[in-house]
Amino acid sequence: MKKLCFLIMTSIMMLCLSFSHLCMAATQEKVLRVATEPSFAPFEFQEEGSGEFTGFDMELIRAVGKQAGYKVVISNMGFDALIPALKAKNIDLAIAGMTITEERKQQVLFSDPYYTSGLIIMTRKDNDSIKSIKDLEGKVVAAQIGTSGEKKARSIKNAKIVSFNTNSEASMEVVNKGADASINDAPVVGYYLVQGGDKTCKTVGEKMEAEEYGMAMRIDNIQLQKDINKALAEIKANGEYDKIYKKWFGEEANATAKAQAQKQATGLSFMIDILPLLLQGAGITIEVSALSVFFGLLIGLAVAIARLSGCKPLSILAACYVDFIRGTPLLVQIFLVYFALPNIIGHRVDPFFAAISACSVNSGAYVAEIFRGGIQSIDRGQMEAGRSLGLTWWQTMKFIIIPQAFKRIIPPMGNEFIAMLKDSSLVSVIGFEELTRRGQLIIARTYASFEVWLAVAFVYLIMTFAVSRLVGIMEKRMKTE
Amino acid sequence: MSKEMIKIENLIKQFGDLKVLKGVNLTINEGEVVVILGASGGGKSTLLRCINRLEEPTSGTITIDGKVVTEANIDEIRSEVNMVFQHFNLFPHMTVLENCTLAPIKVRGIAQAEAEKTAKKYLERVGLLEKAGVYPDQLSGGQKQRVAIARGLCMHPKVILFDEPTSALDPEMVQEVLDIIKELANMGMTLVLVTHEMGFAREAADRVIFMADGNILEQGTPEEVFNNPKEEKTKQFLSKIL
Repeated sequence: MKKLCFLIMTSIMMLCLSFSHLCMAATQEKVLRVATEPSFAPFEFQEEGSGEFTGFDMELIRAVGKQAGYKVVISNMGFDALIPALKAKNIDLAIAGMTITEERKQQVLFSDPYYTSGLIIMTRKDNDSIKSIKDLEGKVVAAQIGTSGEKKARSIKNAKIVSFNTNSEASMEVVNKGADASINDAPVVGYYLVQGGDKTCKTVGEKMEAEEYGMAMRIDNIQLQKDINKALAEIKANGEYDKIYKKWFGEEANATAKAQAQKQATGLSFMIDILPLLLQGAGITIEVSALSVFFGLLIGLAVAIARLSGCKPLSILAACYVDFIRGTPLLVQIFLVYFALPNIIGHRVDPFFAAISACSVNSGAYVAEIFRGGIQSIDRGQMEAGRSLGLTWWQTMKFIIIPQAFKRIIPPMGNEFIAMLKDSSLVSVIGFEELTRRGQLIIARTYASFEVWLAVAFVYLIMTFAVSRLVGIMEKRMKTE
Repeated sequence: MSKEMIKIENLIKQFGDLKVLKGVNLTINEGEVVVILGASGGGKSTLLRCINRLEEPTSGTITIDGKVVTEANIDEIRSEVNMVFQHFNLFPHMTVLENCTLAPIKVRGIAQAEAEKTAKKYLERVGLLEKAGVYPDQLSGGQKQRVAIARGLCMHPKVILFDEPTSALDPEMVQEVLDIIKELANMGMTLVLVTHEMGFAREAADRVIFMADGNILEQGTPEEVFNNPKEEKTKQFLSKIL
C-alpha cells in the first residue's frame, strides 16, 4: 500500500511538473517568440553571472519588439535549427547575425537589413603563409555550420572544411592547429580577438562580401514583417538604434570588452565561478532525464506486457516500436517531434513537450527490452503456480511476476538512467540550456574551453555517481526485504 | 455410488509430432486418492497438467464436478482444482502468510483479516504457523512444500493434484510431506498424485494407475497392481522400482 501511494504521488508530481511548463507557455498573450544562437558575441551571448541573453542583436530585438508592442521571449537553439523552427511555427522570429541571402529568402521573410557585416579570415599569428583567401586553397578551414562563412569556405578550391556548432568552437580549432584558418563574420572575429584571442590569432586580408544581417520570419507572416520594419525604422529615427550600436561597436565597446577579458579569472577559481551556471544546467538535465525515465518506465512496462501478452497484433506492434526506436538515433527522433510533427498536426510543438516525449519514447524502447528480459527471467513455475490458484494471467503478472521482475531490472534501469543523463544533452538542439549547452555558451563568452569542459565533466560525474550509489542502495534494500 | 469428481474422455495431447497422451479415459470419484505410476515419458505429468489446463489438450474433454473445462471457465475451475508442484513454486517476494492469502483475497474477494485467519489455520495444520512471517528462502525444502500445500488448501479446493511433490526433497524431508498428504487423504479430499513413493501408494492410495506410452495400461487397488500385475510392462517397471 505504501509503495502504491508513493508511486501515485510521484506520478502526480511528474505530471504537475510537465503541465506547469505547458501552462506557462500557454498563458502569455501577444508574445513574440524569438530564437537565437547565443554563441555569437558581440551579437548574442550570455551575460556573465545572470545568464541573460545579451549583445547587439538582443538589445535591438527587445527595443524593436517594445516599439511594435510585443512581449519578447527569447530562447536559444542551434544556428542550423533556426529556419526549421520558423517553418515548424515553433518560433516567430530568428535574430542571430543572419545574413540575408537569396537562398534563405526562398525559405523565410527577412526584415530590412539592420547591420552590415562582412566575412574575414582568421589564422594563427605564427602563420605567415596565409595572406588572402587565395592562400587557403588546399588548406583546412574551420567554420560554423549553416553560416555564410561556411558557404564561402566551401567555394575555396581543394580546401577541407570542418564545421562546428558554434563560432567559438571554430576559433578554438584554429588555435589548436586543427585548422589553418577560419572564416566568419568580421565583428564576431574582432570580438574574439579583443577577448584575448589576439594572443594567438590575427585577421588577414580585407573584409569580404559586404553582408547584410536581417531578422528572419515565417514566409507567410507578412503582417509581422510590416510591424518589425516599421518599428526598426522608428528606432533608427529616434536615436535608440545608434545608442545600441555605439554600445556594442563604438570605441568604448572594445575597451570594455578588453577590461572584461583581463579581469576574467582563470583556472580553478574560474571553474568555481561558473559552477552556479552549470548547476542550473544540471538541474534541467536532471529534470529532463528523470521525467523521461519515469515516462519511459511506464511506456516500457506497457510495451513489454503487450509483447508478452500472447496477443499477436499487440506483440507485433510492440516489436515494431522497439525496432524503430532502437534503430534510429535519439537526435533524429527529437528533430522529428520538434520539426516534423508540426507539419502533420498543423501547429507548433512546445519544446518542453518535444524534449520529454522524444526522450521518453526513446527510453521506453530500451526499458521495454529490460522489462521483457526481467519478466522472462522469472521461472515459468511462478506463472503456473499463480494460474493454478485461480489467478488470471493479468493478476499473476501484476502480483507475482512484475514485482519479482522489478527487483531484477534495477541494475539495468540504473544503467538506463545514467545513459539518459548523458543523452539528454541532445535536447540542447531545440533550445534547452542543459549542462552541455551551458558549457558551450560559457565558452562562447569566455573561450576557456579546457576549464569549462573539465567542470562540465565533473558535474556529470557527480550526477552519474549519485545515481549509481542510489541504485546500489535500492538493490541492497530490495535484497534484504 | 459416490459422485464423479473428474471425468476424462478420450484425452489426446500432442507436442508437434509427438503424441504424449493417446486417448486417455479416466474417472475419479469424490474423496478418492489416486496414484499414477509409470516410467518417465509415459505421460503422467502431462495428464495431470491437462486436468487444470496448464497444458491445453489437443482433443478430448475433461469434466470437473459436472463442469466441462473450457478456456472460458478455466480460472474458476482452477480455483477448485489445486496443483502442488515438484519445485514448490512459492512466491519468493511474499511472506509465507502472504503466499497463502493472495489468491483467497484476489480471486475469492475474501477480506484480508478473514483470509489471514484461514491461512493461519492451515499453516498450523501443516505445522508451520511460527513461519507465517518469514520469506520462502528461509525455509527448508520440506517446509516449502508444506507451505505450498497450505497455500492450496486456503482456496478450499475440491481436488488437489500433486506433481511429484517429494522428488526435489532431501530424503529426510520426504516423510513430513507425505504425512501431510496422508492426513488430507484421511479427511476425504480428492487427491491425484504422480509420485515414485511406492510405500505411500501402497498405504494411502485407493487406486493405483499404471501409465506407459501415453495410455493407461493397468489400474486397480494397490494390492492388485503391486502384488498381482497383469501386464508385462507393469511387472518390469515394478521389478525395477521395488
